[in-house]
Amino acid sequence: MQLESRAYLRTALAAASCGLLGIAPHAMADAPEPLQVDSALLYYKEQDRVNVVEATANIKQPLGEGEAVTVTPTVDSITGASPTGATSTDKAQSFGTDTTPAGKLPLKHFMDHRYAIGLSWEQPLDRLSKSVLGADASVERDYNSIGVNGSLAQDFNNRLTTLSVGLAGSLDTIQPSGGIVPQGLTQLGTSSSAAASTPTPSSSPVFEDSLTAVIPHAITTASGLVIGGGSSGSTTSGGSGTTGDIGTPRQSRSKQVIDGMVGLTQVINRRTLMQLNYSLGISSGYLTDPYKVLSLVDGTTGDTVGYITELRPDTRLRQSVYWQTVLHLPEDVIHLSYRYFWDDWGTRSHTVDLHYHFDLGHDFYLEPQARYYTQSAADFYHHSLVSGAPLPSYASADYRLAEMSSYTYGLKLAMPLGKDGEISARATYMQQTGNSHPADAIGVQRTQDLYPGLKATTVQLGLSFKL
Amino acid sequence: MRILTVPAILAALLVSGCAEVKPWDRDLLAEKKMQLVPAPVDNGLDEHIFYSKEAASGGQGVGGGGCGCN
Repeated sequence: MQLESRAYLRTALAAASCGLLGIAPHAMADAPEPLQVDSALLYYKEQDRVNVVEATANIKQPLGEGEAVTVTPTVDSITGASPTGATSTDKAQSFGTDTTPAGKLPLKHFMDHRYAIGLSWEQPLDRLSKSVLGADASVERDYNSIGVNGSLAQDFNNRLTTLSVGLAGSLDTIQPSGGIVPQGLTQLGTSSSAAASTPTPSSSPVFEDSLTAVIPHAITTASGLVIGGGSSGSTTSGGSGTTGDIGTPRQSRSKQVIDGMVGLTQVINRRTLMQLNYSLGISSGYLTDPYKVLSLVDGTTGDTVGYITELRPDTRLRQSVYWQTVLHLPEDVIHLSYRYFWDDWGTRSHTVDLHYHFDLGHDFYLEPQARYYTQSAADFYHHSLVSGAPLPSYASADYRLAEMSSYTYGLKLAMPLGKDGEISARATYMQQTGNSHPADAIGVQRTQDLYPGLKATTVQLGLSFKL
Repeated sequence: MRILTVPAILAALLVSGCAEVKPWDRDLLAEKKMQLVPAPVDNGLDEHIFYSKEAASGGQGVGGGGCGCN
């Protein structure tokens, strides 16, 4: 009986010391722990736009006494089309090889693969603290990223409180397909800035590829339209390796990102845990999307008369406050979180996320999820620009920088697999809505949907096991 | 400094008024479903999607890899 009590006490103490730090209790056992694999296959589909298949896994090898190494490989396959930034009009538009009928949103087709890997090493520093050091890298056809991160967690207040600090840095490189980094706020169809000339209205506007339009040595016709010098249309035809279609080195730009975080986790009572984080991030370098443009419209009729490449500031300061509570009901568990995000681009956002872990017994569970997200527009967001008007310092028509709201609903069903495994199926539905008919729409623009809403569904299969 | 005031007040509220939970009463807190991020793979996939579709990102932690999707 005494032995039993001691064993119980030891388990409880281990659970107590690990719960806050996020270490599974078994990690403290003396025997070597088996390899833990958590994997998932995701299919993501947007209505009429992008499809993604993503396979990922967390492979964790405990090394004893709370030390562990985790490897996270990820492979994405991305196909489909994304908005160019140009708005729909009452006439057909074409962008390279992609033609958009009247009344439809101009899209640009692309295909890419992403290969990413993350490594992390967690190690207790003493009885009350642990460190995690990590590194990650990802490779895409036109985007590479390499980063490092580290965090420290310190328990105090009888292990009821954990103070965490984290720091991460990454260096990203953008090499646009087609080999050219477009000059910002440059009118397509000419080799000069839009500020210098007013385009001739066309009954059927024609995009030049944003990459061909700014090539310095492109062939320019008497009418001013660029007709050569780069890839033709879709980004799938972009150059590979380090050379573009025309044999010249692919231009690249870099971006540096530094993120810091300080967080406090508190045991409120036997059934409630709460977390509060403050995060600060600084991005600098090339933050513009090289594939996005804005429509130039006639100031009276609203007709699209041309296109201009977007340009964003080269720094961005991001901050957020994140609060989460985890509440244990008699059997079920609720995760509720709220995030307030703001940046110096003028974006403000609120996010509320709720997960309800509904215990079905025998390690079966259902988990419904609901998430609400809303954001204000970046200061330099414009659905379009008026032709001939003075250009702003920065401009983007990227729908992700617009004022918008998003709802996500999800459901997960999980069941045990053997003694330590789990198999799960999960589906989510996301819908974004924005201002389709802004007050500053001009003429024919009032008949068009100026915010391309988004509907996306995901289906995910998960498999966890120990080896 | 104003931006730090709100987190400081929230942190004070967070720590104050907490019940003492003895180590042997922390069995529920140690359950996997009570972890702050009980399903890291699901969380990672969700964060990747939201990062590629929204202006805001982050908040839960640092690191995680770059992506040309935004």
